[in-house]
Formats: sequence, C-alpha cells, structure tokens
Amino acid sequence: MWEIKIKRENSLPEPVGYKKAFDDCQGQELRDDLEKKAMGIAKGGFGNIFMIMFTLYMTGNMMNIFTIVIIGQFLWQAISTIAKMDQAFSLLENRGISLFLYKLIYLSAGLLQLGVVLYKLYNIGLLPLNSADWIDLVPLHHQEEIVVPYSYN
Amino acid sequence: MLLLIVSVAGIIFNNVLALHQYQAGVHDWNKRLFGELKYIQVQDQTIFYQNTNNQNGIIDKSTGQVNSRNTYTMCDSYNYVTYEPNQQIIQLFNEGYSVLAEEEISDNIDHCLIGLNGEFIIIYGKTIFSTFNNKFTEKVDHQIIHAGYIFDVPVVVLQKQNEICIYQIRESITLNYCVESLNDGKIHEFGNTLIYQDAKFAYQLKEKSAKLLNFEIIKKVDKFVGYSQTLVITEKSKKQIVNLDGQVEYELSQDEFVIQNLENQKYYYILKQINNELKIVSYDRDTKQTHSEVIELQTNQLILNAFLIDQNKRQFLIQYQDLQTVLVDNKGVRWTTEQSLISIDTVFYEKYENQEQTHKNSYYESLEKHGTNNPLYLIQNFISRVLNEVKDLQEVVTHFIDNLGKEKVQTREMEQTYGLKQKVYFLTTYGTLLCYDTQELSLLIKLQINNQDKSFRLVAHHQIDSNLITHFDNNDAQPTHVLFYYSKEKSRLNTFILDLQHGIIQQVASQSSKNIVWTLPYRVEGGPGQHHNIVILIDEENNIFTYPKNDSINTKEIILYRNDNGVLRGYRLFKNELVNLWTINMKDEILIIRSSYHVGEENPRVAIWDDRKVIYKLIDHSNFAILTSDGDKLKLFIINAKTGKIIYQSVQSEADFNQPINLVFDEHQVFVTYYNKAQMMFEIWTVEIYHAKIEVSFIKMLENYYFTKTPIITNYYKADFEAFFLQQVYGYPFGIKYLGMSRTQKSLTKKNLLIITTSGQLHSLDRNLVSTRRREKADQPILEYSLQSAELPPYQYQLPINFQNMLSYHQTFDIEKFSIESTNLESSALLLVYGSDIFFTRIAPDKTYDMLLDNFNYNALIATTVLILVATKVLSKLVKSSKQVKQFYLN
Repeated sequence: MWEIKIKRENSLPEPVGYKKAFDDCQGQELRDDLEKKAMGIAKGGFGNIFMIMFTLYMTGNMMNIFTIVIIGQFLWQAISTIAKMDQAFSLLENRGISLFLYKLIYLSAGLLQLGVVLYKLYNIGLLPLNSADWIDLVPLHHQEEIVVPYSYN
Repeated sequence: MLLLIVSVAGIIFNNVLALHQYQAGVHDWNKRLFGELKYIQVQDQTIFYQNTNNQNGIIDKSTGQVNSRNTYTMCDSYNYVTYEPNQQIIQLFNEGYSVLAEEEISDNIDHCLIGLNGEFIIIYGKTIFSTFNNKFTEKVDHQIIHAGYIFDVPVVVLQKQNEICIYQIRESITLNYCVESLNDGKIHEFGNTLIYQDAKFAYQLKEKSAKLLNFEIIKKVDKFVGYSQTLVITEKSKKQIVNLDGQVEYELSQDEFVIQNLENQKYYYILKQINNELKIVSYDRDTKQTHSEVIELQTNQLILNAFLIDQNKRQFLIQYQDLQTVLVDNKGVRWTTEQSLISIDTVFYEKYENQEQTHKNSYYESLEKHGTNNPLYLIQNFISRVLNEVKDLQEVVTHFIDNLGKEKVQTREMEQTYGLKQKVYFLTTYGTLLCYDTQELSLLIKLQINNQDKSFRLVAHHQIDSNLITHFDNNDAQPTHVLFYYSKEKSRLNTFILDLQHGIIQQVASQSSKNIVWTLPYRVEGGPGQHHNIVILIDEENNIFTYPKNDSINTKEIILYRNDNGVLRGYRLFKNELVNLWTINMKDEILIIRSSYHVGEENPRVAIWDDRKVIYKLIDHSNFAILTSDGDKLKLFIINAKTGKIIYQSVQSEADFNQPINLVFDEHQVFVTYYNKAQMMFEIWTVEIYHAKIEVSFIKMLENYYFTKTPIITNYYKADFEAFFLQQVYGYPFGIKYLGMSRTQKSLTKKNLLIITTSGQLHSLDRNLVSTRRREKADQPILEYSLQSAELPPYQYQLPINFQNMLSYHQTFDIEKFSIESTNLESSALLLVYGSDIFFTRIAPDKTYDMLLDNFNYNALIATTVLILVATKVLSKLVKSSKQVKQFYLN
C-alpha cells in the first residue's frame, strides 16, 4: 500500500512567465493605459458634436422627410449613447480604476449631443416650449346671452 | 427590369391621364336666366328678349339658354344704343358693326326710337336727342309718360296739368294735339295706335286726333290685342274678345290666354292649361272656325304670358305663373326651364343620407376632443394615426377589389358621404321651392306655395324640431322648415310648414300682425336632457309671439336692437317682456348695419398664434357695426348692444356713395368696401379688435389654462376689457359689388374674403392680405409684445391679385349675392352665387388638406404597389439563379 499527500500551500513557486501580482511599477503603467482608454471612451461623444451640428445646420429649418430622418437618427444616437453608458465602460469595470469621472464626461457628451438635437427640434417647432404650442388649452368663445341681430326686412 | 420599366411607365401615363381629366368645370356649373319676359323678337335661332326688369339679351331657341345679356338698349331689330354711365356717353350702333354717332348725355336712356329717315331718337329724362340732319337736342317742360310710334311716326306723350299732349318727332318736335286727362294714366300700344287710360278717361290716340273710348269696356280690359284691334275683357265669370265698340268676337273661359298674332290678323291663338295638358286653339276670324291640338305638359299653373315664335311650326314660348318657361311646337315640348330662379328669397341645403358608413377615425375624434395642437396627446394621437392609416389602406384595398372593372361609382358615394354633393333648395319670390342636386344639376323637387298673393314677402326661414308640430305624423328627428310670409298691405302674417321628406308645403297659421322686426330661433329647456326649438317673433310694436305657441320664454337673456328711422334702440327680452335698454340718435344717414353674430356658426376660437406667441381676438357677439354717410365722409361705428356704448368710431373721406358699399362683421374683424374718389379705386377698410394681453411664455399658458380650474381668460367681453383697435386701408384693383366671407364646418380653416366684382367675377381674396397686423416695412423689428405680425407680408397699399383665385375663371356673371354651405370635410365648402345668373362651385379656402384630389388614382396606386412587389420577387429569384451569382458563391 502506498499514499500520496497533496500539500496545499501558497508557497509553491509560480510557473515560468507567470506573475500573480503586479509590482508597483508595472501596475501604474497599466492603470495609465486603462485611464487613457476610459478617457477615450468618455470623450468619444464630443467628437461627434461638430459633425451633428454641421449636418443639422445643413438640413435647414424646413420640415421634410430628410430633416425628419436625419434628426430622428441623431436623436436616437444621442439617447442610445446615454443609455449604453454602462455597456461602453463594461470592459473597464473592476479593473482597479474609478470610472465615475469618465462616465460623467461621457454622460455630458451624450447630453450635449441630445441638447444640440433638441435645440434643432425647438428651432423647427417640434418642442412645445412656445406659448403657441399650448393654444388649444384656451377655451372657445361662448356668448352668455343671446344677441339677436337687426332684421333686414 | 422590364417589369420595373413597365410599372414606372404606368405611373407616368396615369399622371398624364389624371392631369388631362383635371380641368375647370368638374365641380361647377352655371345657369343664365332670362326671367319674366315682357317682349321678344325672333330671328332665326335666336330670341331677343326684354324682361320685366328691363334686361335685354339673347336666348338660344334650340336650348332655352341665355347666350348673352346685352348692356345696350334695342331701338329696333337692327339699331341699338349703348350708354356708359361713368363717361356719360352714348354710342349708336347699326347691327353692331359701326358706331354711327357718339353723344354726351347726363342720364340713363329711357327710350330709343328710330325716325322715318332712319335717325336715332334718344329720350332721357325730359330731354329728346335726335340725329336727324345735324342733330338736335330739345328739353320739354313736362314729364314724358310714353315714347313710341303712331303709324310709324315717332311720338312722345307728355303729362301736363289736366291733359296729355301728343308730340311728333320729325325734323323738330311739334305738338299734334292735347286731350283732357287725370294725372295717373297709363299708355298701351295698340297696333299702330296707342290707348290711354286713367281712372276717368280712355282714348285711342291716333295721328291727328284722339278717339274717346267706352270707359266701361276699357275698365274691364285684361289684354289689348292691338293688331286685330280687339280687347280681351273679363267680367264676372266671363272672358271675351271684343272690338272697341264692345261687340263680342269670341267667348273664352277664365283660364284661357290669347296671343296676338303679329304676322297675320286672321287668327287668334288661344292657350289653355288643364290637367297636365296644354290645349292650343287657333280661331279663324273670317270663317269663325276653331282648330285645336293638345300637348302633354306637366304643370297645374295658369299661363302668365305666351308668345308666338313661328307660325308655320306652330311654335310658342309659354311662361306659367311660377315662371316655368316652355317652348312647344307641333312635335311637343322642345325645352323647359325654371325662370323663377332669377329672384331667389332664400337658399338652404340638405345633406344626402350617408350611403356608405366609413369607419370612425379615432385620430380625428381625439383631435376634436383634445384640440389639434395639444402636445399632451401627441403620442396617443400618433399611435391612433398610424393605426387608422393602416385601416384606411385596408379599405382602399377592399375598394379596389370590390370595384375592379366598375366605373367611378364609389366617387359619387363618397361625395354624398362627405357632403360634397348635397341637395340645394331655392325659395323664390314667385313662391316656388325648387330642389336641385348640386352635382348633377337635376331638378329633384318642385313645390308651390299657394293661398297667398304677390304682396306677401318672406320674413324668415327657420328650422325647428318636427315633434312639436301636430300637423304631420313625424316621429323621426328630421327638422322641419318653417316659413313666415308677411304682407304690409294686408298686415297679415302667414306661416307655412315645409316637410321635405314628404314633399309638402302647408299653411299652418294666418294672423293679423304688425310688421315683423325680429325673428329668432330659440331653444326651450324642458327639464334634464329635454328641449325643443321654437321661433320667437316680435313685431314693430314690440308684441311677442312664438311658433309653435309657447307661454314661457324665461331661461336666457336675449338682447335685441333695431334701427327705428335713424334712432337705434336696444332691448332686453326677459320673462316675455321687452325692456328698452338704450337709445342712440344717429345724426347721419344710416347706410348698413351688420352684427358680428351669424346664425348657425360654431363657437369661434379666440386665441391665434403668430411667431410662437399667442394673441387674443376680442370677440363679442353683442357688438354690431354701423356705416353712416355724412357728405362724402363714410363713418364706421362699433356699438355694444348690451350697453349701447359706442366702443369704436372712425371715418374715411372721399367716399363715393353712388358706388356699391359693403360692410361685413366677422368675429373680431370688420371689413368695409367703398370707392375712394381721390384714389380712384375701390378700397377695403379693415378694423380688428384684439385683447391687450399677449402670451409669450408656455409656462404661463399651462399655469393659466391647464393648472387653473377656471381659466383666466374665458370671456373677453366683460366690461373691464382692454381692447386694441387696429385699422388699415387697402386698394383693390377691381370694383367691388358684394363682399362676403367663406365659412367651413368648424370654422378652423382660414376664412377668405369672397368678392363679387362689378364686372361680374367672383374672387377669393386671402384674408391675411387685408390684415391690420401687416408691418410697415420688411426690415422693421417686431417687439415681443407687439401685435404686428412677423409672418404676414409687409404692408402694401394695393392688394396683389392672383388670377388663380378667380373662382369664376374667365367667365363673368350677373350675380348679386352668395350662399355658403359647409361640407363634412373641414377644408371644403359649397358656394352658390346668384342673381340673374347662378354659379355654383366648391371652394377650399386653405387648400384641400383633408382630402385627396379628384385626380388621385387609387387603382394606379394599388397596381403600382403590386407590380413593384412582383417585380422585386421575380428579380430576386432571377438574381439568385443567375450564373454569375452561383459562380461568386462557388469561388
């Protein structure tokens, strides 16, 4: 009879080419890389803004099928940018860096995009922010008494 | 690919076809009328006529249509004279080819005669102008009561103190003779002579002397038959043809009509209408023989007037008392027309019962309920719109399948469903009620109001609930029409009930009454959910009565006002009593009064937007406008009927009161049209009333009208209102005869001004162009709280004319007034213009935004869609099976 005993110890030497933990110098490098990447994602939204502004400017203030399609597309893009924030940063989650600031920048870029599109919507009169948009709330004229016009006979 | 080409070609071809089909005259028609004939002259296929309104024109003998209406006075068959009132010049024509002479005169032409040497003799007022030799003009001292011929010599008959004098006009005007007379005599043409008749004397006026006639016989004369020198007399129940000595030639019955034969004195033609048959009797005066024939002709009216058109064809033109006019000959009735339409008292419409019930559109229902621009229902409306579009598409496909191979039947049905095709009723002064289809122009109903004479005039026409009227067994909810006729001479009011469903007009009441000043349809509340409609009538002595009889009218306050010979009086009707509220003595002559209230109009919107801000119209239906004249000054007053306060007055000088003047008061706008002598142009003077409040913030709007249970602005006619009165004057390049306003079902569509020009055209003028809110200059900045508009074009005195807005196209009509009826589509309305001509058309003041154009081809749409689908499928299969594609996948 013979017996093998496996001793579970942390002191076992690591395999060749594998290091379980960063040393301080290497960890800083990677953090910088991750932060750079996060900033890239966060600022990505700003790059689009000028393109959106230019395209919306070029569409003019006339309501037609092209304007509707273009504005609709940008509106959807802005909303989806904001909605997909967590998804955009998912690869960088739990990697030892704080994403709060980057997400804030990302969100502000998305909101800026949305703002530009909403401004366009306002300009072509699709946002009910004017008094004229609420004109139907004003009641119709009702005369309290009956007024009989002069007979022409 | 081939299929794609075919389908594209199909679309192009269909467009061309639709364009070809779309042309003027599809929705409009016109009728030209000649009215009650006084005198006719026949030449080949044309009948020259003069009617009782002294209009001249030409009737096409083969169709009965008026070909043209003359503005000239015929002197004889060949010579005529025209008069230009503005330039006061007459022009004399021979057969229309050449102007023989021109002369300046100061008045309208009363008579035109042709002298023995072919010279023109023009009589106007007391002046006689002749072209004999070197022309002469003479003015007589007395009134000319007749101008005509005695044995071809032109003569005038002058009324002097106690005598009439006959003057002949040859080289000069010379007296023939005078005979004793009273002052109110009449002259009748009698062959080559004249017959004078007054209350005491009767003469036959010959060339050199007058023959005294048997006064007793002349008193009974029904008709003078000059060419046979006989008279038709009526005595008790007898009617006879007698000669001047009273000897009887022929005995007639009361309803027989004698036609004088201008060609041959040998015959009389006697016409009689009995039981839908026209009997024509010819009587030979020599042999005393009669010959009669009968023509089937459906009418129960008596003959009013008849003319012999052609003796050989035995052709007669007959007018019945209801002014139905027929041309008959030995072959029967050639044509028949309803000439009573020349004088229309009132027009009303009836919609056809819906032949086809389309599905209820929840989108439009929501718009109606929540307002067209309510952002709170935006998403809900969007979804319901999409769902309804799908439903509509389904309907289109079903229609397409159902109507494959059929003619355009569904278009007619749809027109009935949407009220684009209705029944139009004309009530004429001749007492006839004629109903036509607005599309096909076919006479559907003809009724006659009997039991009253010509002195009765229509006072009012109203619709009330039929369940109150016991004279008919009407259990349905159809409204019944009530007509009130009043005779000033007899001081009587006759009431008629018109039941359109059964085609009955029945007199239901006749009572003695003073002149009716007001008539008012009124709703009497009879408890929760119960009400009935009555008509309140008030006479000039303020007596109040109702139809049907109702004892208490005490629910709502009623304000009334009237013009009592230049004194305006306002009254309040409360608890069956009329109390005088105010009195205004107008110093100037009152020309026109118009109320801002129009019967049957929906409650109007008070708020309008302009450049994203909200401004408020100041609408108060108790306001009315008055136009007065003072010298050449035209004054406008706006008065509140409740308080009697003059809330606005303004004046325009240099107005020409000989030209037509119009006044229209609609909601908050007053439009006045007049001729400005200084500008030498017709002007449109607009006055608009706005509330001082302007809303620029949407938060305020929500605060005021959404979150506040009782909105801040509901009624603007409270005593403490702050009003802005704006006014502007525009020059209109044409003459304006009549001004009115377009109207649609819900009054949501822009209302345009409808103008009948003095030349007889019908023009639709964009209401925005005559707005007072047009800014002075294009580059003028507009302040936030200014009423000036950024959207309207800048002010220009002269209004631009877009000839595409001429509703009558290139045609001109003799038209006076119009009547508008809304359809079930908000964009469109039916417009009927009438006068001596009738013109009907369909209008869309702000384009037909809620309907497809007539040339829209459903079949082409479906066929193209199907073709494209098939082409896509086939082509994709072809592509998949092609060798190149297979090779591509293999590689």
